Amino acid sequence: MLVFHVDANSAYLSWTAAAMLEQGCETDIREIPSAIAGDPENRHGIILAKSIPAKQYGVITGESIYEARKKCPNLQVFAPDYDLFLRCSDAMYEILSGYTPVIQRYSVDECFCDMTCSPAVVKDPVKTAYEIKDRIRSELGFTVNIGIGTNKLCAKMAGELRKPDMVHTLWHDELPEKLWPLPVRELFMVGRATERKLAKFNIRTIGDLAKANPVFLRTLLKSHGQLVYEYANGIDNSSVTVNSEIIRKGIGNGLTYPYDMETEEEIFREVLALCERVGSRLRKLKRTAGLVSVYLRSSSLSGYSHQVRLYSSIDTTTEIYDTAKQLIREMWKGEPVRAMSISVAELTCDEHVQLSIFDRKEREKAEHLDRTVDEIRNMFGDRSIFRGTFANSDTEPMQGGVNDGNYIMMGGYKQ
Amino acid sequence: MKIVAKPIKTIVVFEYADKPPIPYKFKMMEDSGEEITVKVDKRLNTHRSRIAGSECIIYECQSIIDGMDKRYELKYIVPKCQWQLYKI
Repeated sequence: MLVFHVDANSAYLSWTAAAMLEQGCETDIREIPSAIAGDPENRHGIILAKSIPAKQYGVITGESIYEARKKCPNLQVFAPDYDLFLRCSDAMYEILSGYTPVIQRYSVDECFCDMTCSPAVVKDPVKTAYEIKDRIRSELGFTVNIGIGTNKLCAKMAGELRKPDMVHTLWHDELPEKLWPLPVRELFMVGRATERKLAKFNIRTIGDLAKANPVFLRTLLKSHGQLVYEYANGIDNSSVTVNSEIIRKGIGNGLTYPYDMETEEEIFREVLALCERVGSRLRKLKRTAGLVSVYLRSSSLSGYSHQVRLYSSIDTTTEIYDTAKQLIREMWKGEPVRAMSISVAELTCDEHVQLSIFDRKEREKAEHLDRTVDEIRNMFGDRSIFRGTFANSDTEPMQGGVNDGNYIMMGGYKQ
Repeated sequence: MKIVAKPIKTIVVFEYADKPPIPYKFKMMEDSGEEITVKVDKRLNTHRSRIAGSECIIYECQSIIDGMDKRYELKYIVPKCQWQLYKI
């Protein structure tokens, strides 16, 4: 197998920079301390991407604008433009599809391409990678890193070696030289917690992990131990899967609100708006859910969740909403709520549904209603029809998701 | 030429065949607030661009503006159906 991993460098920032230069801006924001961050007024003020000069000041992705400005007072902050990000992501995908039909959009800025089917690429993969990288830079105005390997893991690790605008290979015989000297945290799927556990046993580099006893690692980290051991040795048998073939295990939707919610009525109205989106996604996938869970985060930033497994699976907005309400009544301690999310799992095909004697009579009616509402919204937009409870209220009738429901989420899912 | 990216009102010609539209005449607002009309005298070059994922057609043109022969670029942003005086 021959796999390319194509990753846009500081994606949000370089896409914004390319668009600004195109519109006549004289400064390339990639070359000054700058960052892309949400609106602090709506409490979304966290750094989503930063430039290399900002990184040198110690600015990190995920921290608040306030913390970032303390490190770098002259940091220039720009708002995210999801329409632009989607266009750039689509344009990158389009160039890649000229080389292979087997592309997995791993996220908005990353793709895995299986090049095995192309004899010309297999003959000289490095040359093709340079061609793709240069085409993206000249045609689209931003830079990418391309990692080449015999599986997805090696390609991804190769792409991370040195940035920006580079092509790297990571063949199996190059592992000891290129991968093993790196700190163990650099390995895909090794996070802070795993790093801490491994450090206790003096496993500090990927090489240490690769040479460790797999039985010991399984004892220490359970099945995850086996996985990271294999990854450290460049073993990954997963195939590049075109996104439409990926089996979805769950659907979730959540939001951080601009203000704290203090009454049950307020919370339930927002929950309904989140459930509207979850329900419509579920029905679009032609699935029903057997499990509903709710997560609440209070104003003190502590969070907790609660879930219920249902006797019979559901797909109507009303049923999801009723279940979520019941969960909130059981879990909510009355403190101000800052963020909330609803998710459904244990998805099954909606053609065969186990009926229950407790089913409400109006279930069939609710299904027909939801189907009709979905069709109206498909034709005329999300705001074309909504529940009376949202009339004259500040709550958006369908919440969550970004960019009016046309944004590629992780895994390349288009709403 | 410098990028100005100024919106313009445009009269264009669509050919019989499947070809990009050809700008014929445009109106632009001067900084003074006065609207001036420019007839496209010559089209020197046309190319497509996809910088930052935005599909555009760029026309390198020449016209007499304020009594002087000037070269400039017009841009048609395909997904937005918008015209711009891109560079002058």
